[in-house]
Amino acid sequence: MISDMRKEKTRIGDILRFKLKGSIPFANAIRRIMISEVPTYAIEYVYVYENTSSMYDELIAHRLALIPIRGKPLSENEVITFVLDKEGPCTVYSGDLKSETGEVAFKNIPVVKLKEGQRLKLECEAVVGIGKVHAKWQPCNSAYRQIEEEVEFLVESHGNMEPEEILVSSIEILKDKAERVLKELETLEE
Amino acid sequence: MAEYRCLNCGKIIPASELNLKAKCPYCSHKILVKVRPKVVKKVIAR
Repeated sequence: MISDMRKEKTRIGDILRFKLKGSIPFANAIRRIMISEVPTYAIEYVYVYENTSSMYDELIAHRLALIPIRGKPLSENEVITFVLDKEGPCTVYSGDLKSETGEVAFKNIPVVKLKEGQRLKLECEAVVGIGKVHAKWQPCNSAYRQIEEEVEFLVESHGNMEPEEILVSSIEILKDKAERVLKELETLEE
Repeated sequence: MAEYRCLNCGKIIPASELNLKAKCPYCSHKILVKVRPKVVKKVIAR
C-alpha cells in the first residue's frame, strides 16, 4: 500500500515523501489527523520571575510556546520543565532553555534581544496537546496529490518527531476512531 | 505595597512616602516609574 518512501533532511526539519495506494478520502483523513490530532509537547505555562526586556511577558510567552520541543509523548499527563535565566547584552535563543527531562528541537531560534542591564528570568512548563486546540502543538505540515491511481504524500516535520513517527501515530489514531465508531454501531444494533 | 523608582536619582520610594504631589523626596524630580512587584507571574502561553 505504501511505496517509494524517501526522506530528505532540510534546515528546518525532515521531509518524508511516499506513495500511497488508496482513496482520496483516506489520504485526506490521514493528512488531517497528522496535522491536528497527533499529540506533541509545547510550552503552555510560563512563570515570569523577572523581565526587564523590551518585550512584554505575554509576547515572550507566545514566542516560547511556538518553539518546537523534541520528543514523542507517551501519556497525556507528561510535563517538561524548562528554566531560562539570562542577562544582557545578548540575544536569548531557544537553546538557552535548560531542562533535565527534555530539549528543544532547534537551538538557534531567537526569542528576545537584551541590552545592558536587562534581565530575563523565567520557568516554563511544556505539556502534551494536539494541533486542534492550538497551532503550537502542530507537529508537521502535510500535503498530497493524486497521480493516476496513486497518492503522493509529503510530510514535513517541525522537528518535534520524525515524520515516520507522525505517520504511524496518525494511522493508530485513525484506527482507534474507526474501532470506536464500529463499537457504537454494534451497541445501537443491540 | 507599591514602590516607585525616581528616573533621575534612581532611588526606590515606597508609595506611603508619597503625598498627593508625585515628587521624589530626595531630588524633587517629578517623573516616577512604578517598580515591577516581586511576585511570580503565571502567563498562559497562547
